[in-house]
Amino acid sequence: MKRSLTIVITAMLAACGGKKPGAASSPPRPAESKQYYEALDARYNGDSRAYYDGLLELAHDDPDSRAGRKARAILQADDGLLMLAVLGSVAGAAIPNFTRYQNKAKEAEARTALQMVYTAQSAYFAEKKRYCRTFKECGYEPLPDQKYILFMTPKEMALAPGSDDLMRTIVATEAREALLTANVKPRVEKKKFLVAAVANLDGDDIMDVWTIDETGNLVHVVSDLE
Amino acid sequence: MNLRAAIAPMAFLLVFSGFSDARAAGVFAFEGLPGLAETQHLEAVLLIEDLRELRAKMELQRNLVARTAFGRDYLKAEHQRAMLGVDMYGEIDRLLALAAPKGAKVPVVAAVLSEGEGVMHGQLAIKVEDGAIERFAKAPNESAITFTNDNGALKVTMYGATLPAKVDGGWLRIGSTDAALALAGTKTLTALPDAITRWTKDSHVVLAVLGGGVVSAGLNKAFADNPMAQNLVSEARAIAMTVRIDDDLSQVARVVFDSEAVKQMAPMIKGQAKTTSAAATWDAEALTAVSIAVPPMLLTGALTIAQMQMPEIADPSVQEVIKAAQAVDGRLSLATFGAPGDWAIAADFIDAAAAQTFVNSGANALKTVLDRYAVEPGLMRVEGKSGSEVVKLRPDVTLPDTTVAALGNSVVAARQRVRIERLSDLRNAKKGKSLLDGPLTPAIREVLARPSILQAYVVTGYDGTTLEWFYWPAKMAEVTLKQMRDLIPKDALDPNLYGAAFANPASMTMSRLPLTLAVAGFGLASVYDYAVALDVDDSAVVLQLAGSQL
Repeated sequence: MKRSLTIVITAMLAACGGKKPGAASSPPRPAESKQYYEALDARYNGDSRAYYDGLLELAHDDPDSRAGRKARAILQADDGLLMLAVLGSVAGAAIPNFTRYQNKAKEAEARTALQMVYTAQSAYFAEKKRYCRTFKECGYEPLPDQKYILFMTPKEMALAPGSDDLMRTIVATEAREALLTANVKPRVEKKKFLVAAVANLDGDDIMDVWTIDETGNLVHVVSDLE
Repeated sequence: MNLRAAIAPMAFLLVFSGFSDARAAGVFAFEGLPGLAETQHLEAVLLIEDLRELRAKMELQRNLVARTAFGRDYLKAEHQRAMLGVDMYGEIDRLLALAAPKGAKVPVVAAVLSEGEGVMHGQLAIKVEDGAIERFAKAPNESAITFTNDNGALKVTMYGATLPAKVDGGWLRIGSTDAALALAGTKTLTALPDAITRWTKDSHVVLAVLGGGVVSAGLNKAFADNPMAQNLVSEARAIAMTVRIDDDLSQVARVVFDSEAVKQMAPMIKGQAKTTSAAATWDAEALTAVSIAVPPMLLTGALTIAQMQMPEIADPSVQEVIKAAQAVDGRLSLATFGAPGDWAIAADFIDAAAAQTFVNSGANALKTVLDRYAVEPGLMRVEGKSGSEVVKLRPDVTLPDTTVAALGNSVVAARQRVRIERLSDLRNAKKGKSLLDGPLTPAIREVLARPSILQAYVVTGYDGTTLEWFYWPAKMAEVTLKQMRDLIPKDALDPNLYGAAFANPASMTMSRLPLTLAVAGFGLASVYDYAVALDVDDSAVVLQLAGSQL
């Protein structure tokens, strides 16, 4: 009661003190509205229990008044849902970017793998005066989680270890088709080579195709992410 | 007792009763501003019906915010100056005292005019009482706007820029240039198109951009690759934003787009105007209501496709449902009623008989399907008298029903038994109160009572708490931006463009951000309900947004 009196007097003083010629005061509010603002004031003063109790009281005692309805609406509103919506919006904006960066990172894997093959071929050529014809001969071993299949020739390929035979066959068939479509012919000759890397990065029909030759010329033949 | 406390209740009564009388006219009473030459085109205009009344409305909002300690702190003149560069309230009070000390209405017009191609003028006109030049010239130069008498001509200094001014015809005119004041024509500045005028009658502030001038030509070029948008722009008479503020702190903002192209498209978008509002479908307990009238072009297309499928459907009972659905009028509505699981949806038909036929044929078709697939009995029951059957559906015999019934010309589905009974009483027995008869302020009721293509109403459950999470991030942003501001050389901004008060924009907007958030949170917590309506009125698309406060 003392607090309500203080609030009313404070509001009146503020209204009186700030009054300008021609300015109006707020129309009187119903008692239940005052009760709502008192509850809100309690929250601002660090007593959210009193706020909650005030809302419950309004919702119970005067459910059909404006303040009672507002209290019911607040009590039903789930801040968690609102937060979820906010987080959802942020995630919605962030995920496509994150996916794009992730895919760019996958593309980097092709460059690294082909550079490794190029280095191995150069070292082999320096020693044997010809290029190696298998990945094993070059001493190249694909990484366990490597997305790209590397082709030295249409038959000589390096694929991440652990894949079963059926999967190897399916993936290799798709990759070979992609090479044919892109008119890329991986090959090793005595003084030149063309090694290709193929992967499906985003699950669509198009495959990412890269090549590197004996001069170290790295070419992105088909981009899966465009 | 403190004298101020004793005076306050009396002042309250006096001022409030006077204020109510001032609003009694209830029309947009702007009288017009003579002086627009025949060769000039009005590009854009801001009209304030009465600045004095608008200031009084602001005071109502201030009083609400001043309920809290932080609100009072926020409204202090020094904080307002730090935030906006000027104490807006103090400046308006000072201007009112100088313009009309006897208390007359103070209409304000800000107009942008074009003359030929590319020549633009700006003029701010304020209605003043007699002896204005002397009053303005003698006023102490202590605020952001100062006036000086320069050999009979008035000069106004605003935010570092000096502008020419003069008083004629009872208007103080401030021009962007001397040429802007040399308006000697006979047209008045009130020439808003009819559709805009219709929707601004009760507004206190109107901002309108008019077609047929330089702005319109520029937009036309911008939409060169979009013929539909170009057509809308080239045939646009005006787009206006209006604001109405009621004494009970309800506010209505409108966006009105007036174009001949809208008139041509209206039959496809709106069809035949409805006679009742969708809000009348629901009882007064509704806390949320949304409705959409599916545009005739889409509805007709969907019904035609459904009809074309009829020969493919062997089952006559399903064919009956499709036939009954042809009488749907396209309005779909949804409402919730303030208790968990208490919801209802409705589809409107052309009349009550058509709605009942749809329910009956739907029940018949569903029974046929359930029998055919030998689904366990009890999932569907048909109750009620012949001709007013009610269908009860349940996904499992142990779970409660969802009821589907024809109530008036609507087919309504509701999960709660009590809800369907209340809605039935409202529609069929004319008992109880509809949403429109609930505790709405007149502004909200007006927006909801008009049948519209799109309509939404919500008693908001937001109490501003989530904004509290951003207090600390806001403080961090404020501190960071102030650091960045200190890196900007003092003379980096052109004073003629920004003026002394705006020389440091970061310091103005970034002052005590958490306090601004707290006031915004309180403002949102004080909102009771919102209403939104979108409709086509002859040649105008009208979007109304209304809100009321507790």
